[in-house]
Amino acid sequence: MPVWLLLIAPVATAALCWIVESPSLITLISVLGSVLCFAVCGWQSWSVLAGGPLVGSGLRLDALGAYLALIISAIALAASLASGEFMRHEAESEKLGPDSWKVYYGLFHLFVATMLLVPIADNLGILWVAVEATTLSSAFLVGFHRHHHAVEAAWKYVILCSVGLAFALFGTILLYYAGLQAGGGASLSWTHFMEISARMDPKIVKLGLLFVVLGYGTKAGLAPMHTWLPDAHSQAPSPVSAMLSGVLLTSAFYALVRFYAIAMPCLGPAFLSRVFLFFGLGSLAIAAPFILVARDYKRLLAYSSVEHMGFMALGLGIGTPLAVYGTLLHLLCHALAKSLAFLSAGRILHAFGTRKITKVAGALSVAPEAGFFFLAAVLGLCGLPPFGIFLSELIVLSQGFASGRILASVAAGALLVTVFAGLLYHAIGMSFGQVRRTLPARRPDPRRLWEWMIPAALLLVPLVLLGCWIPAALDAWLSLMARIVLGGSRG
Amino acid sequence: MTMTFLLALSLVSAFGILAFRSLHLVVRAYAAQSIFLGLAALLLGMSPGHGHVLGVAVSAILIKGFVIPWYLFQVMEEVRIQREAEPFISYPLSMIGAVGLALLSYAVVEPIAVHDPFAARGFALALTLMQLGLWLMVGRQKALMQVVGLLVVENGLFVAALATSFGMPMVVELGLAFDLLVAVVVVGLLIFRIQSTFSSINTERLSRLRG
Repeated sequence: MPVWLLLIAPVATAALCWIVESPSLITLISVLGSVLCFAVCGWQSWSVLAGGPLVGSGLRLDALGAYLALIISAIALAASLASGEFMRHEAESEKLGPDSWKVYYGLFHLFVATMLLVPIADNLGILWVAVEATTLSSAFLVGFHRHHHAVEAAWKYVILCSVGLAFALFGTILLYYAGLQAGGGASLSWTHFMEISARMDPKIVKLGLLFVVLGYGTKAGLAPMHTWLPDAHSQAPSPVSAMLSGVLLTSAFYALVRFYAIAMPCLGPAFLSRVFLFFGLGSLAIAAPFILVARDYKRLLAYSSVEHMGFMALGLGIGTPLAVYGTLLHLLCHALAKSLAFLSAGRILHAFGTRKITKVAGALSVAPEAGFFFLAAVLGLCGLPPFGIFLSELIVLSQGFASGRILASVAAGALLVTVFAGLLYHAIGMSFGQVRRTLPARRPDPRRLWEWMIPAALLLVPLVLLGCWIPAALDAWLSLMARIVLGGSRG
Repeated sequence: MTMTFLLALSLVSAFGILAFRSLHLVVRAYAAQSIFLGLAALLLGMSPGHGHVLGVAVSAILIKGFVIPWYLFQVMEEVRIQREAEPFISYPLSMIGAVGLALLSYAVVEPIAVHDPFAARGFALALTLMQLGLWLMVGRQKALMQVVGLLVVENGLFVAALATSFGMPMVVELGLAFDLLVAVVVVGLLIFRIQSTFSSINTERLSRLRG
């Protein structure tokens, strides 16, 4: 089965959305295309797990890539279902022309296609091209509301991410040069690097890795390169915010994981652990105070993304097999919880007409269908049981203590408690209490409620299940990925 | 010898970009820099065993020497700007900083590849151009200057690829060139949008999102 089959559904959907005129037909095509894309990703993941990596025409899908592809397509399905209500609301309040549907859905599926290129690229150059393409295809989605805040956010997003990624490419070129020096021919293939990694010149690899971490770290939202993130996440349409936070950051982090795996045999764990612990703890420390004093709930969620990406970097920094296992589990749980949080925040925004935390109260009674899922998602993001994030954070932190990184683990634990307090305080204030202001009259159409309940359930049910029980298949999958990352397996 | 001369000229153009006030001159200096680098690549392509570099060199000269500067002139025409107003970092300070950054790059990179002087000098120049591009982006107000800064950063990457004798697969080089072109078009369209929503393209106005 050819690997590029994965890209057919989103590219075809993007093209169809661009051609078709009627908004309702475009919405339908978008949903069907996302379902198809999810099915293909599921099918390919199954064949990868059953029969080993799929290889062909410069592309390669292994267990790690399949995991990311499945996350991307699942979140894209949820976001594309939830986009229906978003566009109907915008059409009434902002008086959108019919072209807006074409632009929104066309770019949305193009964005999905560029992200799906990330897990299947076997070539570090193509990986870079794919990650840069995700920035360019989502720039106008971030600036979809044409008012000045959105334009400002889109500008910062494109400029900062492009500069960051330029440094990542410089790091990639340095690694390529180290590969040339080590012999074995000219190739940017990931498998090739894994073969020769131990022979590469550590001085060049060290410099290259630092640039790569700076570059992809910018895109993954690691502090102090995260400054584009709160702006873009808060100004983008909510389904797009869900994609940015749930999948885009995850894809950039996946790139970091690939380079971590390459550098490990060459540099050894000590240097890598120092780099990743630094960025991980730094991100936690910078995000925590901003979460405490947040005034805008979409920015609150954005800073929570910085915190969670930092936590995953911390997991890589700890670097034991079980810590990597926990980090990868966290990747999935964070994607589920954060996209659910952004999607329900979008519905709360429509119900209350404001992004200010202090002006939202009683969301559970005003918009119960959104308020319930928002509260559940935020409780999940806090790391409370029975949500999956509780389990993954427990695994990573206990590995931190077990491997003797007491100081870093205590600091991380303290910062997590701070974030917990901040998130819970804001979420409780928003969910309960008396409604204090007149609300916009428009209510979502109750006959269309399934468009919201299906994606919300699709995200929440696995999140809760993962907190109680890890299926044997997923357990084997996560262990296999941990072996791939730490150099014990090729897929 | 000629190669060293061309690479030196590209560094001189980078300082020119930092020094000029007129945006027309800045874009011309960028075009000149891209052409010098393209010629250096062409020279490398003529030596035996590097034939595939010729395609990269020619497309670089065409795209970065002519197409992108032409597009930037169109953007300037459309939004009617001529000069950088008041930079955040004054011109003399900007030049001193740039010299410091250049020295820093050479100090960082040269020691790590001592046995291969061509690559060592190439990577050092690459890092210098990238840092100067970044320096330009933090120092200037006009959105257009930030785009030129980004393009100088990208020229730095071109030098880095040159230092490895362009062994990278052709499809990667093409992907990079395509991404660059799309990026310039995207930021150009964003400049139009900034112009129409803010009635100015000074990025200091883009500072309402905080906290």
